[in-house]
Amino acid sequence: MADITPKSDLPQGTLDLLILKIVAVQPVHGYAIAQRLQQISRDIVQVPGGSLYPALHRLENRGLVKCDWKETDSGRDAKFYRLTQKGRAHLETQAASWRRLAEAVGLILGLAEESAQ
Amino acid sequence: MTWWSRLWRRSKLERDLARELQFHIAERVSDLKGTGLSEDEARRQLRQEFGGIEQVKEECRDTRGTRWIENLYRDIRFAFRSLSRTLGFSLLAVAVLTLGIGATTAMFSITNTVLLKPLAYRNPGRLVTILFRVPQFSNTLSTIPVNAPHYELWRDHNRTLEEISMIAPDAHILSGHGEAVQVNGVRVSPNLFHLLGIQPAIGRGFIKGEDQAGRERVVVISYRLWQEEFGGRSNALGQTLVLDGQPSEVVGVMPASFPFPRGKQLSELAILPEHADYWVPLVFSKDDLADPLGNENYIPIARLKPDVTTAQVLADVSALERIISKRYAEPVKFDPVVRPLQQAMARDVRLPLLVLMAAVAAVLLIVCINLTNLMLVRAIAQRREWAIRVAIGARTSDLLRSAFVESLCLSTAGGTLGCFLAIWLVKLVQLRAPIDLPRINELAVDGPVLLLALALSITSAFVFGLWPAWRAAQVDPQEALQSASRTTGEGRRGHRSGKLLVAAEVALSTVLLLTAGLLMRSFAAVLAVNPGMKVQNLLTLRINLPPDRYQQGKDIASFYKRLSDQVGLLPGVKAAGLISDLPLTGENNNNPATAGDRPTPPVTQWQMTNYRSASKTYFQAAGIQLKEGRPFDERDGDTTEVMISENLAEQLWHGQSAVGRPLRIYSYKRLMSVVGVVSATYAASLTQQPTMMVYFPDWRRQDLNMSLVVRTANKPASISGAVRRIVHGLEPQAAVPSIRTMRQVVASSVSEQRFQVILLAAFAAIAAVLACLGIYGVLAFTISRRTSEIGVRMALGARPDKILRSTLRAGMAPALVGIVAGFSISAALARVIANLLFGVRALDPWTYAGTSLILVIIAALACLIPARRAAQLNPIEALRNE
Repeated sequence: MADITPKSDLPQGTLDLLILKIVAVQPVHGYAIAQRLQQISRDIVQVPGGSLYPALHRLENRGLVKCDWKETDSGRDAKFYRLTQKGRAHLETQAASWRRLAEAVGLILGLAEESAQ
Repeated sequence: MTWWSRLWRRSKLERDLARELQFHIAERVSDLKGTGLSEDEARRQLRQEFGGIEQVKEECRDTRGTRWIENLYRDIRFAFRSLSRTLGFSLLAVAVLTLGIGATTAMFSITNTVLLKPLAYRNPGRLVTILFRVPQFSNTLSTIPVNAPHYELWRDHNRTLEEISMIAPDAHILSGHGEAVQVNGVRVSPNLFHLLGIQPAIGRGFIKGEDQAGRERVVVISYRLWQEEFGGRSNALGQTLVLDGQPSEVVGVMPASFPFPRGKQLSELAILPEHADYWVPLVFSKDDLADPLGNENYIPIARLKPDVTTAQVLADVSALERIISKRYAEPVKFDPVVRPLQQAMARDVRLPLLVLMAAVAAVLLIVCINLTNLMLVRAIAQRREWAIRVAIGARTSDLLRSAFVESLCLSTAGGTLGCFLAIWLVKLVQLRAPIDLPRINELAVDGPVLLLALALSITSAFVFGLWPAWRAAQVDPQEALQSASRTTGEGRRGHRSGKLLVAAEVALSTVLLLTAGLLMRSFAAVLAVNPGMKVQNLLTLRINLPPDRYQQGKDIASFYKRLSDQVGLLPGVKAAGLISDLPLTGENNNNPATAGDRPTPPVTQWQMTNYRSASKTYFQAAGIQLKEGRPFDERDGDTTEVMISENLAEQLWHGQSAVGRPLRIYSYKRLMSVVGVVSATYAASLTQQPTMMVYFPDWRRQDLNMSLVVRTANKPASISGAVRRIVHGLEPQAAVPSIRTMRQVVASSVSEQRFQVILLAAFAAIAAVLACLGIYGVLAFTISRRTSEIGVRMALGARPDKILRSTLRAGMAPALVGIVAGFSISAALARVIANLLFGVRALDPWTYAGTSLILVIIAALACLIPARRAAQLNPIEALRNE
């Protein structure tokens, strides 16, 4: 399973949702977002920089995240992203609708299995 | 952050982006090294994971939504660089575009105001004038005004009109403040302001019943008169204005921008003032109302009921005409003519304006063709550069966009400057135009006009930019870069399109030059018309006497007699005379006349004449030849003496002597007797037939307002001061509204034609110069590209004169094709152009010959310079040039 490339497998718009969720926990920089996505998803979601940074910039331009330059533990300056009010609202609605969809998809798949048995 | 602030802070964003990505890379590399990879291995793996840094940056930049503007900015910068490399070309292009767009915009602004813009009245589309066409007079007058009985009939019995008003020109002497001045105004039915939908800015309009005798001494004044007489003070209302010694109460002031018909816009006979300064109620006299055939002095303006057409109005008033015509004493036929007010106010200028508009559009088209040509040449010269851009990854759309932006830069610059030029030109026309343009005071370069300028700029950029760019974008980089030689490349195709464009612009210039030439010949023909009098050294003064001080006819006669006697004694004056209306200042006092010694024909077959009061010295002073008989003689005391013009004598007595014969004039009961016959003059215009004229002695018909004509030995203007002093010495209250030499009177009567000729000649000259430039440009370019070919030919023994001839031939061919094409277009347009001409045919062979000669010479000159350069090529240098 680990060889699935998230770029082709993540449904449209899902990457934005995942990034927002990570950022919602605490302000975090781009590299850490990538790391966390990979850790939490147990290596299923691997986001290459080519997808991550355009997505972050898009969220920033839409006003869903804001950023500040801060020093990291390793002593380098990094761009930390944090969620805005608007971003939080967006995350909530998107997450809710994603859950509903996932549940629905699960139900349908379960039904299909039942009838097959 | 909005997109424009992102654009604004672009450099900071760029810096941040670079730092952010660098941080990511550094972190990842150190993490990977932590797993035991070497620095190099770590970096290799990172590149695999991350992808190209520049690509990531580009994708991030795309999210800003400012890409298009950055591209545009880059294209504009690129265009500026590329245009400034060929600065001469760019300046020339901007200059011709300025000229083309400026002239077109100005011309459109005039046409738009005069012909298209709705009048500033309420629902102007429903306003009409109704006049009469009288078949019997149609050779001299297209329409005549209307009289009071018709007005009352229409007002009370029509089914199609909401409202109807009458207006008539009026003039009075205004006294009270300083020197007496003549003011011109209009007599109007009280409902006129309501009908037009414009009320006074201050005070009130007229109210019902103010057209009844005894209540009519109220006046509404113009904004200008308000400023001049009352200093713009609001207490002007209720004050009195003394007109011809009679006080009238000022009840209202019209707004400054009140548009009102002027001059002969509505009728040739009821000539309205150029600037109306007051409006007074129109009161019909008993005389006005008595005869349904007489006193046709008023112009009706009517407002149609909603959804009524002019045809319905025509049917309506024609039906009424059948009723009233039963009361006519004579079998006269009045055909009503219903015209929209807008159209009536643009009566005679429509065709000339449209022709000028077409001419100016042709000039703009030539400008575009010329630029297309130059751009084509330029694009070919830039082939290598384009090939390189294609080779390093530019798409065709990129090339086209950058080329289009380049042309857009040129045309925007030209368009902007053109707007300024147009504003200036319109001002110039407004201040200086010698012609009677309707609504000239409303003229302005406004929104729609500027929109047109913008549209013209963009369209012209499309026309002259896109085709050459598209052609150049079809470049195959490999071929273009391999063939380093300048001689190969475009080949026949480029050649042909250049020649085609030259032929097209020569054709357009030919049409313009021909039309200008025809108009010039026509103008010369007008000037060559014998005016029937001696125009040189003749001073004319218009004099208006205050009627309150000259109620007796003999007072008027004695004033004018003393005046002409005293002026006649001035040093340098050969003769002085008086006439009620100068030649070439307009038709008026029309009256049918017929021979008194023959059976009287029905009035429809009488001759339509103008009548004038003249002093016996008038003919000598004006240089009007006495053909037969003698001038008036006061001592005879004969009050039936008249003099007539030669053409009237010919019409009535067919070559027999007219002297001593009786003349019957429609409005006189007594027969007149002809004592003298003089040469014919023109009442209104040299382009019409000479006017049939009846002169009454001035002691018989006293006119308050006369023109003094003074024949001088030297410059007539030098004595104008002395003459004016004599006038005011005799009567301080007399107004002298105009002092002009007869030459000026003639000049102003043909000013419309002159204006047209000058404008069209200017357009034609511009067109010819542009065509010349086009011919030169294409040939010069062709030769510069064939340098080595010519070098080879010369090295093989071709003589310079042969090279010269073959080059000339190549250059002249498209020009000759263009001339022939232009001739065919002009011949096809002959019927339209003929309407503008006088005394010359639209297919005048001399003009055609002259035009082609001029164009051939111009084209030959344009070809000669590059051709000589080709012939003088040094073959060794030419071949080394490779």
